Amino acid sequence: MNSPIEVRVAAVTQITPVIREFTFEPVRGALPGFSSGSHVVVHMPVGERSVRNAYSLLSNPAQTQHYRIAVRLQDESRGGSRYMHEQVKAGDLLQVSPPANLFAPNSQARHHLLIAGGIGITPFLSYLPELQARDASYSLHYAFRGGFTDAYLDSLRENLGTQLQTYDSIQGQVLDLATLLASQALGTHVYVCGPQRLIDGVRVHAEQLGWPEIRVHWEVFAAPEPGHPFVANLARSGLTVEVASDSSLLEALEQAGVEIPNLCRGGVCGQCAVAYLDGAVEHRDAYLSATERSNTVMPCVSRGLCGSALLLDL
Amino acid sequence: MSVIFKPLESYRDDFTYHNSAQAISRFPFPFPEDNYMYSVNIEPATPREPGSVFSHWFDIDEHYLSEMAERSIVLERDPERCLVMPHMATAAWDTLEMLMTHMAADYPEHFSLSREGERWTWINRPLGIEQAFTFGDADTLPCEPLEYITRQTQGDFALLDQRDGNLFMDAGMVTCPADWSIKFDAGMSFTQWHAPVPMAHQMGVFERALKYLLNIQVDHPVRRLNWTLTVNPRMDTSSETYHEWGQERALVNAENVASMVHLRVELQFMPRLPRSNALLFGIRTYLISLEELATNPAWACRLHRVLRDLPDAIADYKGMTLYRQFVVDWLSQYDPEVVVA
Amino acid sequence: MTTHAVQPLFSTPVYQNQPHSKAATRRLVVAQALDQSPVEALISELQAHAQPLQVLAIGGTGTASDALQVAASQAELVQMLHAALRSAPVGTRLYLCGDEAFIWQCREIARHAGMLNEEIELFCAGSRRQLYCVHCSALQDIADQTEVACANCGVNLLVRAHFSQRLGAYMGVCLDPNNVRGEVRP
Repeated sequence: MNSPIEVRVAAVTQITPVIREFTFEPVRGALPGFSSGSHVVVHMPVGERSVRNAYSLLSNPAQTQHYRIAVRLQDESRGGSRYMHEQVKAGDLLQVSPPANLFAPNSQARHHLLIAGGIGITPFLSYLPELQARDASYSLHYAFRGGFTDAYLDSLRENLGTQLQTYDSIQGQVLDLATLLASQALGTHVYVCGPQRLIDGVRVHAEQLGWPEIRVHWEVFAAPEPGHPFVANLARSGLTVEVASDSSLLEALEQAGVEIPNLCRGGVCGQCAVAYLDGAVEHRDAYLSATERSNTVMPCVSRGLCGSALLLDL
Repeated sequence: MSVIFKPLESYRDDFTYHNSAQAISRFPFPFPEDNYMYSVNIEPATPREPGSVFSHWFDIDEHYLSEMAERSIVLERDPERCLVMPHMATAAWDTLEMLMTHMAADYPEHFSLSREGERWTWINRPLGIEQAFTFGDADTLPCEPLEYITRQTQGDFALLDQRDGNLFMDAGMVTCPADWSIKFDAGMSFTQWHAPVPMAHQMGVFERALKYLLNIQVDHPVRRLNWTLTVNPRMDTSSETYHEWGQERALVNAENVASMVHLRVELQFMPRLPRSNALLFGIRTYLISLEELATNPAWACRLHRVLRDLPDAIADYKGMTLYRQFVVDWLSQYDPEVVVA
Repeated sequence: MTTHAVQPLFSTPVYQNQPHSKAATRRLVVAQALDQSPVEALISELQAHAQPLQVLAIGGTGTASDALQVAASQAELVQMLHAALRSAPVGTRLYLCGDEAFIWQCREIARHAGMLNEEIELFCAGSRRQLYCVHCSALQDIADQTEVACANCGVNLLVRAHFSQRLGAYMGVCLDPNNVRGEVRP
């Protein structure tokens, strides 16, 4: 396992009524460098538990004196975003994972088409300085609720000019994905980050229009959704782990001292896949094939069905 | 402890290259068992015992001056052994930063780096270099940044662009490869450039290795050892020059085998390049003659068993079929289980 | 490895007989000649789709129309291909038909225009292909032989199955380092 880095909260800024920005500085030494599209996993002590959520780094990769992230307060929070909003203040110490990147710009793209929904703007904030420094062709399509989830809108308008298109749902402005994707020059790659329905929309339209999958890049940053409590038994170590409704299986295993390699904590990268020997699984990942699901579970998002015990090969 | 550099020795023509007793003692002998088969033998590159080849990210040893002189000879004949596709420029600067930072920190008596913002000064004492330059501005260096720093670092380097769930060899400095060609393989995916390796594809070795490499994180490099045999201590056993060195395989006989045949070990080291998200693939080559190796009889015994039992397809791929029996026969004197007839 | 037997490798190209049934908003066929049988079969198969189909070809007996452009030479065809790609959107599928030397030249043009392997289908007709001499970097056209002398440096080459898509060529490497240029030896 990669050991976490201790950081100090250098600043907390309210960006919109529901979005707060946090600036982290190293407690000792220097922070590791990172590339556009990287994220870190923030460890949050919520009550007895340790909740771990992934957040995009939104600072300029050329400047690694500090990291910046932005957190949207989620209605259905398992406690992570609420903790960040209500508990964390300047001067606090936090643990974060080293940066990892599952959403990097593609080096072969002739044009980068960026589509952000609300808080999904954050990874693109680390793309823009890099794309501008490389003199790359790009455009940003940003959908939000005006005055609510329109983080960084003013600075984007100032910085991007005509390369920015905005869609404010309050004003009834709609992002027409089918039209947008139908008229993109050869060599375009599309990147989407935001709510699941926006990601699904881009993927479905792109597929219908003949875009190969590798032109379509997406990142979900929803924290795992809560579910019913269940029990996991560990076949090799003999441990029994109880998973509370607002905890993920991965978090519960970590809490019990079982460390499992992981990167995205969102059911996408496949790193944390674990074999199970018995029990029924509610699969919520976007990684495993139907065949793999018969004996493999992604504990970062998926859960055992209520009432049945899951037997893990651990 | 400070590294003491030997005076210039040659990796061609008169082949004056030799290892000191100290170099032999730190040689990365690659066989954990008495037999060999392809495997995903990748491990986290955590530093190991001081003085060993595993103690620093980039190992500098007594052959530093000779190896850098050899690299210059190869590049003079064939400048395209260093190749950087335009989209790899950031990765080349990443590499320069990583190499300079680590070499200055690990070998302060030989190298130093001072940084004031983007104004950097690099000092390489053994090669008599002092260079002030602007980080990110290639015009302030005498040549392209990857070439600049790898002309001062032992080992070959490939820079792999990560995209489409694969790794693409889109840049590199390769002057001492074990029978492959950067000029031909440039632009290939991980699976494509490994295409000529027998058996391993069917075993799923590359599929698993690729998954592992794609997930390497910043500051958490991995390493593995690879090996082959080379006739004479020749660094540049590239495909490009095969028509010049291939005939040496036929010159091995029972009398010269111990001094002529060398075990060639690659210490492959793979760190994530932070700013570009590319993967650096370092290939640091160590050469040891059989007679030097046999100063450690346990190594000679194990190598005997490995080579004797090696599957023919692997022996063929590694180019040793013509002279393998001479090697096995000579090494057998170190194997107590071999009954002398 | 250098003189390993010539068996197909993971890097050896594989060609199609049938077009894939993947979604596309327009289709573009580029053919070295129209009267090759795989080309005729391909075009009639693709005409079944509702989306626009454009064909570029050298010579042939076809009459030029909106859907068919006929070039007098390969150089002219290459110009037509450049022009067609300049105005093409993502969603275009490209079908290349001809010998390997032709296919890979066109494919490199398409790649430079921003197309991905996944959007390009290759149909091989004819035996001409490119060989890269690893010793002098020269490229030359060859047929299906497995041994040939380099036209530039004279080294007798083994034609390996190892293929570079970037160069559009198979690797040629010294066949016998004990007899590099095949001189008669005492």
